[in-house]
Amino acid sequence: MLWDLTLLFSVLGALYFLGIFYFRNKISFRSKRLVDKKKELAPVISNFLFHDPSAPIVEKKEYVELKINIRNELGNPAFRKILTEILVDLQKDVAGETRERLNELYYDLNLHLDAYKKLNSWRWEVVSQGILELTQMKVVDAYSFITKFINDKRSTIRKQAEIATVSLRAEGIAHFLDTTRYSISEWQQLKLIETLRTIEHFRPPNFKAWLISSNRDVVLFSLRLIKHYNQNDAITAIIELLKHKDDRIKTEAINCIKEFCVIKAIPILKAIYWKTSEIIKIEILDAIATLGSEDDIEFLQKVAKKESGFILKNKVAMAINDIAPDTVLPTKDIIPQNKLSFEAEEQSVFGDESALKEEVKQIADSETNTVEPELTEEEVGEIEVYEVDTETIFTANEKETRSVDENVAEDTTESTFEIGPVPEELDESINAEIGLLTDLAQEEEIESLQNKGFEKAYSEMEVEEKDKFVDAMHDTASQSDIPLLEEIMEDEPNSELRFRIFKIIKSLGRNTEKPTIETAPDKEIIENHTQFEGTPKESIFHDLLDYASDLESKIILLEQMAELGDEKELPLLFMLLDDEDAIIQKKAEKTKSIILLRLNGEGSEKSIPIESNGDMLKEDEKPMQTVAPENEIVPLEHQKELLPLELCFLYDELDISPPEEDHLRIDFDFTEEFYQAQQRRAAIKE
Amino acid sequence: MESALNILLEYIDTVFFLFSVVLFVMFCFMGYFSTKNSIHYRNKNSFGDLSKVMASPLAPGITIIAPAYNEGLTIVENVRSLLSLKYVNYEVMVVNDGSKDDTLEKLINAYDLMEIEKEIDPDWKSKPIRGIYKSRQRPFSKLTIIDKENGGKSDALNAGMQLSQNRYVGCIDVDCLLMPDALLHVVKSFFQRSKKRVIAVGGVIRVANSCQISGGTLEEIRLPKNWLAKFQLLEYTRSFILGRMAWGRIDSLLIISGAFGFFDREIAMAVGGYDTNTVGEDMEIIFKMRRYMHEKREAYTVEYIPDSLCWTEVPESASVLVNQRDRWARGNLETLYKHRDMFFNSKYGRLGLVSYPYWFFYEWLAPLMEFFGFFTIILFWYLGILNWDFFIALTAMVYMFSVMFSFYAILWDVYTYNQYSKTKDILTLMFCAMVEPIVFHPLVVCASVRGNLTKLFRKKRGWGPQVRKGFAKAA
Repeated sequence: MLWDLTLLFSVLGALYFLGIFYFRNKISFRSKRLVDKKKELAPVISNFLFHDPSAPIVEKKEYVELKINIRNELGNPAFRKILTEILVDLQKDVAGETRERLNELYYDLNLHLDAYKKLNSWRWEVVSQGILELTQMKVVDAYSFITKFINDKRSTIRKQAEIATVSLRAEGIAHFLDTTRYSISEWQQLKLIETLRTIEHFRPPNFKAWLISSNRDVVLFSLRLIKHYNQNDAITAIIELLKHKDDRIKTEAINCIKEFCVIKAIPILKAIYWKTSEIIKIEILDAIATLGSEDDIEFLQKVAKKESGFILKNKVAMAINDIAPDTVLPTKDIIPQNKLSFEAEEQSVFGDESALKEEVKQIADSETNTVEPELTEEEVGEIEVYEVDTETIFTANEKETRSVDENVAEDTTESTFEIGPVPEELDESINAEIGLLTDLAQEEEIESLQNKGFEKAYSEMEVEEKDKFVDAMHDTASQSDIPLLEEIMEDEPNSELRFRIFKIIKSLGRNTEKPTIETAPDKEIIENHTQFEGTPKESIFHDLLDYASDLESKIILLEQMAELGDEKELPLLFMLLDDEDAIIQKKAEKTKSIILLRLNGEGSEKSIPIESNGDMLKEDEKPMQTVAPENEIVPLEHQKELLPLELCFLYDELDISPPEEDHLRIDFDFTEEFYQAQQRRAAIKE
Repeated sequence: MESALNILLEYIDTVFFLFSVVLFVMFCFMGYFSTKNSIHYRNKNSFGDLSKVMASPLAPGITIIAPAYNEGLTIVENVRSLLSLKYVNYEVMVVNDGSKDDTLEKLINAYDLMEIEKEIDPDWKSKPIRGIYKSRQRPFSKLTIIDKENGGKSDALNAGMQLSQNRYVGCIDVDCLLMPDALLHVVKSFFQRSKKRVIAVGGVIRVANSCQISGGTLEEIRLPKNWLAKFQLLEYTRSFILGRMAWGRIDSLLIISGAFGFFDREIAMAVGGYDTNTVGEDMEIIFKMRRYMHEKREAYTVEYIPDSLCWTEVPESASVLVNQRDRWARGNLETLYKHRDMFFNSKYGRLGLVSYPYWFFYEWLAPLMEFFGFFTIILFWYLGILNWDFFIALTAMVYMFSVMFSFYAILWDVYTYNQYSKTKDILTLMFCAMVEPIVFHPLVVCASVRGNLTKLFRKKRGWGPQVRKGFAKAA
C-alpha cells in the first residue's frame, strides 16, 4: 500500500509538473494573442472612433469596408470576445466624446447582446462580468435588467448590480436605496460614492427621505450622502438618530452635526453622553469642542471629574480649551512658577550662587592680602558692608525664597486642580515678592565688588601690559569707567601711567559736562521730571487716565487734577504735554499752570520756579542748581544704570546674561506705594 | 521481554502511522480549501479598479507602525518607500526602539524633523517615550517618529498603537518593501464585510533577495541567488499559497506575519496589544483577539490577502536562519502554552477544535516527532530490528508526498500570480522541492528542537542577531 501511495504521489507530482508548464504556456499564449489582436485592431478601432462623416468619399468607402469586414468577423465568438476585451480595456483610457463614440461602437456592433447572455449564466462570476461590461460601456437599456439583481443572494452579483444601478441612471441611487434589502458594506458605500462623483451633472435626491429606512445600512449610507452633499435640511432627523442603538449611525450623525454646526443638538449630545461607548463619547466631546459655548464648560468639568480614562480626560481638557482657550493648563512635570521665576531672577542678577560666593570669597581674600591703599570713607564703608552682608544677603534671600515657596506652595496645592487658570493674585504676589530680591543696593555692592576684582587683575599686570591697557582705555573708556580708573590711578606706582590715567579721567570728566539741557533740548522734559523726584505713575490720576476710555472722561479728570492736584501730578502732566491728542495737550498745559500757580501761591519750601508764561525754568536758570567745579567729577544719574565692566566679565564667566531692563521693576518702598495706589484705585472704583 | 519490545514497537508503529495519515489527510484538505479559495479570490477580484477609491473622503485612516532598532544603514530609504504608497489617509510611524546607532539622527537629518509635544497616557505600559518628531516639510507630513527606550519589537509596536489615532494600524518590519497599492487591498479587506467585523488582515510575504529594487520600488522580480534563500522561497510559497489560504477559507487563521499585519486598533488595544513577554508576539495577538471576540460573542473574521503586497529579505546564512527558526519555535510554544485552555475547547468553535490542535500537533509536535523518529530509526537499525522494506516504502511515500505538495504550491503560484517569468527559475524551484526534504528540512527541524529545548530549560534568549544586507545591496 505504501508503494502504491508512493506511486500515486509520484504520478500526481508529474501531473503538477506538466500542469505548471501547461498553465505557464497558456497564460503567456493568451497574453501574446491579446497583444497581437490589439495591434491588429487598434487602427480599425481608431478609424471607427475618429471617423468624420464629412470625410472624402475614398475614406468613407474605406470605413464602410472596414465595417463590413468586422461584421463578417463578428460571427466568430472568439473574435467577439477579444474585441469586447479590447473595447472595455480602451474605455478606461478615454473620456468625453471619444468615450461616447466607443460606447456607441460597442452598442452598434451588438457586443452588448453577449453581455446580456452572460446575465443568464448560472455562474456568479459570469453574471458579474456581464453586469460590469454593461456598466462600463454605459448600456442604459440594460438598467431594467440589472436592477433585478439588486437583491440577489450572491454578494458579488448584488454589488455589481448596485454599482450599475447607480451608474447607469441618475435616479438609480434612489431606486437602490428604496429597494435594497441587504446590508451595504463600507467598501461598497465607498465605491458607490465614488461612482456618484463621476456622474456628470448629478443632482442628488434629498437623502433625508431614507433616514427612516428599516435597513440600518441604508440609514448609515444616507447620512454619509447627506454629509457629502451638504444637505443640511435634515437636522431634526439627524438629531433623532443620535439616540440610535447602532454606534456607526450615532458616529455618522455626530459627524453631520459637526459638519452643519447644529448647536441645538448639544443638549441631546450631553444627555446621551453617559450611556454611550467610549468611541461615541470621544465623538461627542469633539462635537462639543467644535460647537460648544462657555455654558457647556460646566458639563465638561463634570465629565472630567467622573471619567477615569486618559483619552477621555484628555479630550475633555482639549474641548474646554477649544471653547475657552488656556483654561486648562499643563500640570504635569511643570516647575512651580515661583521657583522658576526666582531661579531665573537669581541666575540673571547673581549668577550661580555658589560660583558667586566663591568669587566674593576670592576677592575678599585678595583684598585682605594685598596692601590696602588709602581708601575714602565711602569706599571703606562699601567694602565693610559687603563683607558683612555676603552671608546675610544670601541668608535673607534664602529665607525670602523659602517664605515665597511656602506661600506659593500653599496656593499651588489649590491650583493643582486641573481645570482653572493660575489665580491672578498669586501671580501678582509672586512678582511682588521677586521684586524684593532685586534690591538695587545689592546690585551696587556687587558692582563695586567686581571693580575690586578688576583692580586686582590690573595690579598683577606687567608694565607693558598696563601700558597697552591704558592705551586701550584712552580709546575706548566711557564715563562709567571713571570710578574704576580713579581707583587704578590711586594704586598705580608708576607715575607716568598714573598721569596718563589722570588725563583720561579728566577728558572723560569734561565729556560728562557736555550733554547739558541746552545741547539736548528734547530731553528737557525728562530732566525736569527728575527735579520733582517722581514719575508719572505716582499720580493718583495716572491709572484713572489709563482706564478712561474716551476723550471727555480724560478732560474731566484733568479738570479734577487742576482742582485737587499737587506736585505729584506734575510729571504726569509733563508727560501728557506730549500726548497725541492736541486737546489733551492743551488741557494738560492749563492744568499744569494752575497747579504750579497754586504751589507757588502757597509759598512752600518746594516752590517751583516758573516763567512768566507758566513754563518751568530751564535747567541752567534754576536757582537751586548746583554746578560742580571743573575738576570735580560728578557722576550722572544714568551712569548708575550702566553695567560695570567687571560684572560683564562675571556674566561671561558664569555663562549667564544680565536681566532685561525692566522699567516697571520696583523696589520694596515703591511696591508699598504701589499697593496703596492700588487700594486707592479700588476705593475709587467702589 | 521480547513480547514487551514487540508491543512497544507496534505501539510506536501505530503512533507514527496514525500521525502520518492524519497529516496527509489534513494536507489534502488544505490543498482543496486553498484551491477553492484561490479561485474564488481571483474571480471576485477581477472586477473593479482599486485606485478609483484611493482618494475617497470615506477612506479610513491607517497608521503603519515600523519598529526600528539599529537600522541606520537602510532606514532613510525604507521610510521613503513607505511614504510613497498609493493611499490618501495614512500615517507612517517609525518607532526608534532605543537604537544604539545613528538611526534617529539620520531620520532627523533626512526628513527635517522637529520634536513635538504630545500628551501621553500616564498609565503607559511601554518603555518611556523620549520624544515624538514630525517633519517640518509638507511632503513628509505623513511621517511621525517615536523615539523611545529599548523594549523590544512588541513594546515598540505597542507604543505606536497607543500613539496612533487612526482606526486601523499596520505592524510591519521597517525593512519590508510594500507594494504601492498595498493599503488599498488592506482597506478593501477591512471594509468588504458587512456582517462580520474584520479584526485583522494579513498577507503573503514574498522573498525579495536578489530582486532588483530601486528607490524603494520593486523593478524586477528575480529568484534568489543564495540556495538557502531559494529553499525559503519555496517554503514561503507553500505556506502562504496553500497553508494560510486554506486556513483563511475556513476562517481559522491563527497567525498573521509580523512583517505585514494590520489590526483594528480598538480590538488590538482592548486585548492589551502585543505581549512583550513572548517572542511569538505576532501569533499571540491573534490568539488574544480571536478569544476576545469569541467571548464578546460578536461576529468577526481575520482576513488574508493572497496578493503579493509585501517583500522581505530572508536569512542567507545558516546561523541566522537557525536563530530565526529557534525563535519561531519558542514563540509557538509560549503562545500555545499561554492559551492551553483552548485545546479541544468547543467554546471556541473551530478555533478550539481544529486550529489549535493543528498547531499543537503539526507545528509544534511534528518537528519533535521527526527528530525523535530519526533517532528511533538509528536505534532500531543498531538493534537490528529495523524493517527495511517498511522503512524504505514509508520514506519514499513521505518524500513523494512532500515533493508533490511543493509542486502543487508552485503550480498555484504560477496559475494565480506567475511571478517568475523565466522557465529556468521554475525548474530551479522544482529542483529545490526535490532536495529540500533532504537538505533544508533537517536544518529547520534541528532549529525547532533547539528552540524547544531552550524554552524547556528556561534559557534566556531574545531575538538573536538580525543580519540583513539591505535591498540596495541585494540589487
